Amino acid sequence: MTWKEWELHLMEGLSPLSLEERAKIAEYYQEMYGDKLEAGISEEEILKEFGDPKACAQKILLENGEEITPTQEVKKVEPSPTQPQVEKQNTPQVKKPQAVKETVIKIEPKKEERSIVSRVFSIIGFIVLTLLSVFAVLVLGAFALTFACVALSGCVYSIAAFAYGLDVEGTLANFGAGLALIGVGILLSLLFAWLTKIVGLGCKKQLTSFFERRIKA
Amino acid sequence: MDAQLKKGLLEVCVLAAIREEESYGYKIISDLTPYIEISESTLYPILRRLESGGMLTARTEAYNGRLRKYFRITQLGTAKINEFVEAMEQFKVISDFITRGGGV
Repeated sequence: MTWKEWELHLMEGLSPLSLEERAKIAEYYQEMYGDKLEAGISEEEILKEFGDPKACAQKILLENGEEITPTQEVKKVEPSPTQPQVEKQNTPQVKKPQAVKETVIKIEPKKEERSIVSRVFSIIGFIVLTLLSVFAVLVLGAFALTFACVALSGCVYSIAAFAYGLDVEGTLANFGAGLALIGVGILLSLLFAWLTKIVGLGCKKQLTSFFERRIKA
Repeated sequence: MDAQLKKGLLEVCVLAAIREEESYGYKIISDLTPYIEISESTLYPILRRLESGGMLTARTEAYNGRLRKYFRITQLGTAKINEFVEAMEQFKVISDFITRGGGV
């Protein structure tokens, strides 16, 4: 295994962590690798000292409080007995700080993976609710339209009957009832428009979040 | 050694390794290895914990064409060492008592 392969395996093992955190761990191991190389240790020996990359990843995850499945047991990384001691005279002198750059290490919690069953149920629930909502809104719309038509025809009939001098009292009552029905029709239409908007927005939000989840997954 | 005891001990050891002057990962491991077993994958979470706990600060500096992260102890970190030393003195009394077999 080469250093690049080792690093790749480590990153694969750290996949539950955020990209930012993984980048920091990669930098840490790159620094370690560079320092060991400078100390005269061969690539093969360094990788032997680092141990199994997957085990290293699991150890870091375990320390970070990540859950590990029982099949992924952490292998103990035994330090190599050949690990060289840094002699004081060979130790690179630590430079005095020129520009202090504070860094804060932040771990993003692992997002819980949703099971396939819960996803299927949420999709079915979403479809059923959408169909019910659309049906309810359409029924309301039909009522509104019916009220408006009946009221309009009643008014037209009343005006015609009044013009021909038919039952004056009856036509006036008819006209009044027609106006009242027009009012109810307008109110129902407004309610219909408002509910259509609510349902439409709800569907849009659900679909957007569903596709975002799919993209992230 | 008990895992929890070693975990706490390693934190103080890392702080002690940077007490006199700031240091970096490889040097910390090299300085500690003669006294206590510590690997790269053990050191990383300890450094992260100590940094998030405000016991050390980190800065990155270019070294030989690559980056190296230097760690420096804070007042909180020094206080942690002092706290540990005090606790150890108490442990010593208990340890002597246990060694004597509980006799006065």
